[in-house]
Amino acid sequence: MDVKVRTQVRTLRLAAGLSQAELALHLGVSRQTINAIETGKYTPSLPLALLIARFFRMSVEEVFHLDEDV
Amino acid sequence: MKTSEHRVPGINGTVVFSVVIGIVLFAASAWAGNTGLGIALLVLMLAYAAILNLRKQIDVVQILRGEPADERYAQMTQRSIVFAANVLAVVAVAMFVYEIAVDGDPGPYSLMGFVFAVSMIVSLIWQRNRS
Repeated sequence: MDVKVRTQVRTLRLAAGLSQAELALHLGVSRQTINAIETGKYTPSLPLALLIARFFRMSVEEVFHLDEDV
Repeated sequence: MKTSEHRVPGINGTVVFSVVIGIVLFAASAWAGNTGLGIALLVLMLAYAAILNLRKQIDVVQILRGEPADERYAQMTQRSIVFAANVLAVVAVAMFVYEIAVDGDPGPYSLMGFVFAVSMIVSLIWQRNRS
């Protein structure tokens, strides 16, 4: 099963006025990983997705959704 | 909750380890009377250590020098190890067949293939019981 996941991380990060490096520091991952998530090259694990959603005070479904839902 | 999985030796430890390995390889080659090979191996390991010492934020270099280890780096490392293992398996089987055809003796390649296959099966059973 090859399901594409879309993300709002970039939009949310820019709205929060954060750089990729700053968000990465908050989440305990590398800046490159944040960039890979934003560009859709990497789908985060469930724990990291939950951490990202919690950071932006949103639900996981509001931050990540399947491509077919677009 | 942390998504980083493990920490391996940092930049200094990894770089120093690479240099030490280079010196050991040089010493072993010199001991065997092949100083030229020893110098080549030492230069190779020093070059590798220099690459690891790059301060730029390059994914591959960061993974090779073991910092920082987040889940994406761990996934990249796992996939790379799987790829390398597949290459090794193909080479071992190819050389196994070649040696039998040429010398009639598989040499060390039969042992390599055996160890690979047994390790794979044992690991599958272990992972199956864990997940």
